Parts: sequence; C-alpha cells; structure tokens
Amino acid sequence: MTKVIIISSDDERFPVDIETASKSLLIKNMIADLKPDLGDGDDEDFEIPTPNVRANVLSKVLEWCEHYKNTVFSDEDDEDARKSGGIDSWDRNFLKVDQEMLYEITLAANYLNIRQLLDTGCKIIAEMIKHKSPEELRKTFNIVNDFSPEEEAAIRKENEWAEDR
Amino acid sequence: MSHGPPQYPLLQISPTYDLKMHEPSGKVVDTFLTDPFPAFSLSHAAAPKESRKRYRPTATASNSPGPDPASEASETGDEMIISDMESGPITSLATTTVHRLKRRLTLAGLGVMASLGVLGVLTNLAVLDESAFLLLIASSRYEPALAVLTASTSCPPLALAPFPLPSAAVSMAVVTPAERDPIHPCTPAAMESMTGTPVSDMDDQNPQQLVLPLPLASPVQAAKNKASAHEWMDHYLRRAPATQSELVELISKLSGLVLPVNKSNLAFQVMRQLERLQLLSLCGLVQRSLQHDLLTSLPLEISLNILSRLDAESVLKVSQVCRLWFRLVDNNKLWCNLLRRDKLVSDELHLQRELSDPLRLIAEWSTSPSARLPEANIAQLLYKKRHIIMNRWMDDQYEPRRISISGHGANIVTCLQHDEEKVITGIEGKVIHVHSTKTGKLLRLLKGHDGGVWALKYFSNTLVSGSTDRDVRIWNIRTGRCTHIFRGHTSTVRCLDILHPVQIGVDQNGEPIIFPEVPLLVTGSRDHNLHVWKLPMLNEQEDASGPSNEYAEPECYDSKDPNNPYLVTVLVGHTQSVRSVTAYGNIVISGSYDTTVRVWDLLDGGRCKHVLEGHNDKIYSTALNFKNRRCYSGSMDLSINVWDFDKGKLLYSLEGHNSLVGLLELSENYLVSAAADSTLRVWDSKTGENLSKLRRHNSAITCFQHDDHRIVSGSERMLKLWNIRTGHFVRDFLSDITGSIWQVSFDQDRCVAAVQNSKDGREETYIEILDFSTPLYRTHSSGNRVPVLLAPAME
Repeated sequence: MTKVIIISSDDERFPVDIETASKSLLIKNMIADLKPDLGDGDDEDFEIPTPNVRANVLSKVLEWCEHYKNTVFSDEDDEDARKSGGIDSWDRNFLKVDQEMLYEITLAANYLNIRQLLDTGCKIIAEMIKHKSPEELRKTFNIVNDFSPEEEAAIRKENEWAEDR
Repeated sequence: MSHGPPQYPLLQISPTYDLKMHEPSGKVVDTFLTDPFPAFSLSHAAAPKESRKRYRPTATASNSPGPDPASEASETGDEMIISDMESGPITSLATTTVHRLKRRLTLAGLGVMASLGVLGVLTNLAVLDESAFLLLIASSRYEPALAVLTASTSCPPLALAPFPLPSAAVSMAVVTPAERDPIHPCTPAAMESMTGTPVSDMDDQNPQQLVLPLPLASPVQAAKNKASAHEWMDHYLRRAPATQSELVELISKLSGLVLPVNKSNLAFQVMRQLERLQLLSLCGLVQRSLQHDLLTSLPLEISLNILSRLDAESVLKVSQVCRLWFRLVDNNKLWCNLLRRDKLVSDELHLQRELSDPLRLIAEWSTSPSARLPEANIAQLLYKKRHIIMNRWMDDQYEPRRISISGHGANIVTCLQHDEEKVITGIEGKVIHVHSTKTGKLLRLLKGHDGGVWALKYFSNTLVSGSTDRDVRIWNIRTGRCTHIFRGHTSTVRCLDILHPVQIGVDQNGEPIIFPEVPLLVTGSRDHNLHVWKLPMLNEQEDASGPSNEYAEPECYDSKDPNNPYLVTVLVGHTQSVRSVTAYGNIVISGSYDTTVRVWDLLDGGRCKHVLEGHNDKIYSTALNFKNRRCYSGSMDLSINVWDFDKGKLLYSLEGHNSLVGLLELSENYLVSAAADSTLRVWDSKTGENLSKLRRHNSAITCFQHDDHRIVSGSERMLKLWNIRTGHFVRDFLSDITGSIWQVSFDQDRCVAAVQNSKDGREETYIEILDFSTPLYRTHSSGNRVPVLLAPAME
C-alpha cells in the first residue's frame, strides 16, 4: 500500500498511511495539490520533509495521528464549544511529557495544522497556568521577575478587585 | 512518564522519544581541531606537547582497569590536543568557550563531584549546543543551597603534579574559590564525604550577582579573542591537575573545545560513568533547566489561544509574572472575549458602547491612572468595571443608588422597557411616559391612545404601542410625536413583537439568506388575529424637519385597505384571543386562549405551518429558540410544553408548577418560568431538566427577568434577586414597598421596577431605579480625582 514518508529535520523517515498523514491539514493539502492520485495506483511513496520537526517530536505527533486516524472531528466553528470542552483521557496521557516536548508538539501541531492536537496542547498548557500565583508561575516556567517593586505594587493594586471574591 | 512507552504502532519499534544522547551511529564526527588556526606558530605548540605527555599517562593509569568509558573520553581529549597542532574549524567554538569561561556559573546545589564534572561539560554544551540541552542551568535563585563554580580563566598556573584518579564515584565538596587555591587543596572532610554534602560558602556570595550562563559570545568579542584561542588550549594543558577540583575544571574547560556535533557524545560518555542516584539528581536538574517560558516562546497566536482558555483571575496572575507576560495579556481581543464569555456585557452593541469612551473609563475605574504600566488595556479595565458592578449586585450589603419617580397616579403599569438613557412605561391609563434613566426626569409624555396601553416595545428611536382602543401606534421617541396609526384589529391589541432582519440560513451557493428585509411588527389581538406590518423606522432626521411637523397628525393605515403600504399579512386561524406572540426570522409563534400554539412562516406568505395541540387550557406565554428549532408555551393547565416547530411535534412537557404559568423567558442556557403558585423554576433550555425551584415569594409572581447570572422577580411587596447558576436567593430589593411590583426590567447597571406604594395612606405608582454603576472615582471640577465613598461593605 502506498505510504507517505514524512521526514524529520534530523532525517529520520516515517512511513505512514495516507489517512494518518491527512490528520495534518498541511500534509493533506500538500497531497491534494501535488499528488492527487496518491494511493490509486502503485505509485512510489510520497516524501514530505518537515524541516522544523525533530524525529522525537514527529514520532509523537504521528502517534497521535495514528490514534485518531479513524476519528472524524466535527467541523464545528463553535469556538466556545471547542474551548470549553475537557481533555480526553487518552490525550491527557499522551501529553504527559516534559515541557520541552509539550512545547515542540504544540509547535509541530501548529506547523502541520492539526487543529485538535494544537487545541489539546493549548488546553494542557492552560491547565499548567490556571490557578497559580505569579510566583508559582515563575517557578513553573523558569521566569525572572523583572518588574520594579513600584510597578509590581501598582499592578497588584489595580488588580485587587479580583482577589476577594 | 509514569506509564510505559507505548509501541510506536507504525514502525513496530519503541518510540524514538527518549534522550537521544549520541549520534544515531554512535560515532564521533572527526575533524581536525586546528583548521582555523593555520597561522599558529610551532613555538607555541612546544609546551603543550610536554604537558600532554605527562597528562596522558596520568589519565590512562588512573582509569584502569578495564575498558572504563572514562579512558575513552580522555583518549578523545588527547586526540583533540594532538590535532590542535594542525588546524581545525573551531575558531568560533574556542573563542566562544573562552568568552564563556570568563563568566561565573551558577549551579543548583549538587554535592557530587562526578556530577559536577558532568555539569561542567554540560554547561559548555548548553552554550554551544542549545538544541541538545537548551538552558541547562536553571535560574537558581529559588534553590536554597547554591553551589558556585567559578570557571574563571584567570586562576594562577597550576602545579604539574601527577595525581592518581580515584574511582569516578568519589564524592567531593563543591568547588569553591577557596578550594581552587593550589596551596590549599580540597579540605579533607569534603574529600571523604561520601554523602557529598556540599560544603558551601554560599553565605559569602551574593546570589543576586551571579550571572546566568546564557547568551553566546557576540561576534565582535569572538573576533577580538580569536588569536588567543590556541593559547588557552595551551594554557589548560600546561600542567597536570593536582587535585580533583583541578581535574574537573580541566576536563570541563577542554570539553568546551569539542565540536557541537560531538557534545552529546561527550556528555553521554561522561554520564555513563555515573551511578543511578547521581543520574537521578542530574536528571532532576536537567529537567528543571528545560522548563522554559512556554507561553511567550510560542507564536503569539498560540499564546493567545492558551490565554483564551483561562479565567480572568488566572489571566491577571499571568500579567503579574513579568513584563513580557504583562504585555501579552495587554490584549483587547483577549479581554473582550472574556467579557463575552463571562456574560458581563449584554451584547456587541453594549460592548462597543462601553469601549467607546476610554478616557472616562480610566478616570472612573482605574486605580492608578497616572502610574499605569506600559498601557492600560481598556477592555481589561472594562472587565474590572463590569466585575465590580456584578459583585455589587450579588452583595446584599451594597446599597445601590436609588431614584424614585412619581407621576403615574395610581395606575397599573402594564409594560416597561428601559435602556441607559430612558425608561418607557405603558399604563392602564392612556399615556406613555418616557423618563430619564439617569435623573428620573420626565422627558416625554406620549398622548394619543384612547384606552389603556397593554403592549409596548421600542427599537432604536421607534416605539410601538398597542391599546384597548384597538389601535397600534408608532411613535418617534425623540420628538414624542405619534407618526403612524395602524388600524384593523377589532379588539384590544394584547401583545406584539418586532422582527429584525437576521440570517435565517444559507442558499445553495452558500450565500446567507437574510429575512425579513426590513424590520417587521407583529401584533396579536383579542380579535383572534395577528397582523404583520412593515415597521416604519423613525430616525433622528425628523427632528430637523422643524416644529411645523411636530404637531402634524399621524398617518392612518387600515389593514382592510388593499393599498396599505405597511401591511404585510394577516394571520388568521386562532379561535380565541391571542395572548402571546414571539417572532424571529421568518417564524412567528402565537399562543392563544384557544389552547393552541400556532407556527406561522412569513417566508411562505404567513401560512400557518403547524397548529400545536397539547395544552388543555389557555396559553399565556410563549418563547422561541430559532437556532435549535424549538418553541415553548406556558399554560393555565400548569404545564410548559416544548415543541419542535419544524416538525410540529411535542417534544416534552415540563411539569412542576401547580398554578398558571403566566410568564416564560428564554436565554441561551436557561428557560425560566414564573407561575401564580408563587414560585419560579429554572430549566435547562436544551435538556428540559429542572435546575432549580425558587420559592421565597408569598404570592403569584407578577414579573421577572433573567440573564446568565441572575433573576430578578417581583410579587406582592417583594422584589428578589436570585443567582440563576446556583438557584440560591441572593437579596431583597425595595423592601420598603407596601404594594404590588407590576413590572421589572434590568440591565448590567440598573434594575428598574414599577411598583405600588402607599404614602400617607394613599396608594401611588412609582418607577424605582436602582443603580449599581457608581464609579470608583469621580473627577471634581477642580480636576482632582477622588474615590467615591461607597457603601460600608465596599470599604
């Protein structure tokens, strides 16, 4: 069966089914534009380089695509519904990775145009941010507080209204 | 990751996601070290050769027995030294290292010497091979125990003394500047310490001054140092290390000369020498170092995507993290979406209106308008305003500003509509009052009807009223003039609705279908019929047409006149009084005392699409959700029916009230019903689930309104506020009222109620305005801005 070969930035080759690869809108459109008859005959495999995705990341992303290969995501334009929806437990497990990996998967999902994966990545990162104090956030994301004490006091004062519920 | 690595299903192999420390081949990429230094004189090379000879046996001897990986590492180093005599493409590499070595490194507490050695290597890696280790060294200011490795190159020349290497696992104290002193080698205590407790003289160091090993050397600096690269190599190897700390330092320095492609390989070699626990502690450090600013390193659109999933409180916390994050949150779109999502604005018009006067918003609601950081985000400030006002509603200690308007005599107020400018009331008397919302002043008195006004609605500057005199009148609110009279109903006009042009679907080409083309008016009457009219839109221009027009007689149109330019159609079918009408798009829903609900399709000339039969008593109220194709009807038979108006089918019946369901109101999430049994019920508008039952009133509910936060309901002597989400009672309003609450209407800022009160033993009707929007600050005429003194609870 004809495969799509996705090549990572470090030249690792990942042969995958067309359905799996088509989870990426970028690749799907690429196939449609460049090789519309792919899969019809005994074509040679179609190579697609992804010059800014490392093999480690690409392998994870393709694992996701493989898992959802047969899932049809509703084409909902209802942003609110997408945003308020929870995180699927498989997705949650799948994205139990270190921050760097999460970062790269999110970037790759954006680059490859895999909306559901991008959304899930964003949701996970949002959960990391939610309900944390500024100090906890700095710790979590390794950030240096570069506000002057005066600025910090001014912002805190302006935001006081949200403190006491 | 706690769970085992899943098989990669496509390749039948384990996922490649793990620490890929070395080249896939595991081979060292071999290059001559001296390529970029063809000009180096051989005289310089003499000294290192000597030191190399001494160095090499030391290293190899110490690493025996067996093929210890350490020997490989030192072999590699040796090769490098030799090839350095020729040339190698490492100019920038070496000079960068030099530059780097001049920095002081801050390391998180690590007591194990071997790990420290690895760290030294990794530190260089971090600088030169970011893709391998990114920011290896965490900002350690949160670590209580800091170890300092000063990799300063300005240390005095080290004595050349053979030094037997103990096993790689020997623990040592952290290198401190004192310990590097060749005269005073490591303190014995530290040498012996197997637990590797760091002997840190951190207290002498000021952590704030420690420089993070971040950026690469600038090209300018690199060029300046170019010539000395070789000298450094030379300098490093001039002497064999005498102590462990010197050895580690040397290896760490040399590792800086390894090509970026080989860095991972080198680190891997060194790490192979570590024991499990050492690896673990290293692992923790590496992992922490890999944490980085996810939010701002992602493309802006993704960062905003992430922020858009946060609640306002979390977003505010984000803004307090650092300047970069503050600027990220300073985003109008983000806050506008929060305002919409948290339902703190009624609609888009409301949002735009509020944002249109930023200066006023700042003056009234910003805590520190002068000391503001980069820019105050106006939408963020609006969110603050809206949040504060919402909290005031829900705080039973907060007393809103109250305006009481008299002048209605003792008439029952039959209908009421208001906005931030005006309150319009219809009474069972013949006039319509227009009062100022802000001051309560009477603005207009609309006279013309010859009977009580029982239905009233306005849109923009056009007011429509229906009366017991069987007429429908169109008024210009601004001028107070009645411009049109629509005749034809043969009994009281009891209900009416206005239809706005909306998109009702898409045609075959995907183009939106807009219907109706112009605003329409539907009126329902006790004569069993409904009339559909084109609504004359009265813009402000009429003001300009002069006083001559002001007293002009209204134009009269009769529905029986075939040339009537306004009449669209007459909906005939009900066999008794039409009590309620709701319309949207092309659909008109009417509820009648004949116990039926009728669905009319204006796209089809006003044909009666369905007669919905199911109630067995008079229908008093209707509601319509066009998008979900559902309509609702409340009846004297105690039930609320939910219908599919496309199929004309009864979906289900909501039971629970035990008296007439006189009032229904629908919003996106909720259907609220109010009954004569003195209760209100909140239903899930989609599932029909009864979410809550509100019972604190003592008599039939006479009026209510709800939004996504609250319900305000009125009955005899009572006006109550409820939290619609929890179903809990929040507070009473106007507890001094002794009579009926006829009508209530509220928006985000105000609650307006028409009530009956007795003063001096005489019943009188009042319009009460409760205003929750008192600003935080007021600017006096002198220009001074002072906080407005609020009710005690807010202080």
